[in-house]
Amino acid sequence: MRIDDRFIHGQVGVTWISYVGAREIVLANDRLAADELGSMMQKMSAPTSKVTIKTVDDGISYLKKKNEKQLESIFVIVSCPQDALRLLDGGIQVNHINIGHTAHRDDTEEVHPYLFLGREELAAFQELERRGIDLDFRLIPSHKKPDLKFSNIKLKGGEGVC
Amino acid sequence: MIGVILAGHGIWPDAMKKSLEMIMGEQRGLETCQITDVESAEQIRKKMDQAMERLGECDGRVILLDLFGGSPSHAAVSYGLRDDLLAFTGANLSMLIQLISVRDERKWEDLREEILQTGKDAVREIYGELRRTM
Repeated sequence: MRIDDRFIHGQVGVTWISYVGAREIVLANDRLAADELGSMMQKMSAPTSKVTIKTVDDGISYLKKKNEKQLESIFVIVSCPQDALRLLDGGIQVNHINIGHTAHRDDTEEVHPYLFLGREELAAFQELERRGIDLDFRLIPSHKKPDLKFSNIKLKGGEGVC
Repeated sequence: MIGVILAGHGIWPDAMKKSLEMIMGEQRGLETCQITDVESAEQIRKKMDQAMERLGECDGRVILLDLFGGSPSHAAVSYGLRDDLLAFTGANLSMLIQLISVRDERKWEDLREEILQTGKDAVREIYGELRRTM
């Protein structure tokens, strides 16, 4: 699974999809699922993979119907850690999450180079970490995985919104 | 006038503009939209809106993008399918030169095919071509 608020874009299209060797990409996002043109463009951006776009809730039911072997070849992308938690709470098993693009906004702080978090986002990451999920912050595969402990991160202010 | 926006990753847009100006001199109706690692889809769209505004009144606008499927191309799609907009990906300097040269002479309906063809014709492998003609 990957968290990236741009979904399939330059970095993901060019590097991650071939790196993980996914046969199917599932984008679970409520706003994107309602955006017909945006969805078409996302699909056209990964021409060699099957791209499925669902709301988070529909994504949960869709993924639940897949068997273990099918799930191995599916790369799920959500826009924020809160949605990743929704998938987990919905019964989707995840061991590893690649944290990709998090956007800089007025209400976020840069807790690590290029990693921007608001309060809600940090809380969601801390919960994911508490559940023992391997959180791997790398924009592209050739970057080195940093030693990050979300439980040690404290924000000065700001609210994270999804 | 037809307005042109160069939009892409890193310094590509400004660098393209500089290269064009080296060949054709300073141009009006040409804006850039550079995106970085830290911007969200919404912020990229906002930057593109600002570039559109800087162009002012135009008879049509052409967005030249570096990469199909990159975030700037998704931002271009977020404008919807409009009759006064064209968006080319994989844009090269030949397309930009052609576009700037002919934009005030061509009919808007003809511009799309012409610029597409210019872009395709610009991609060549010269050593192989030379070997074949030797």
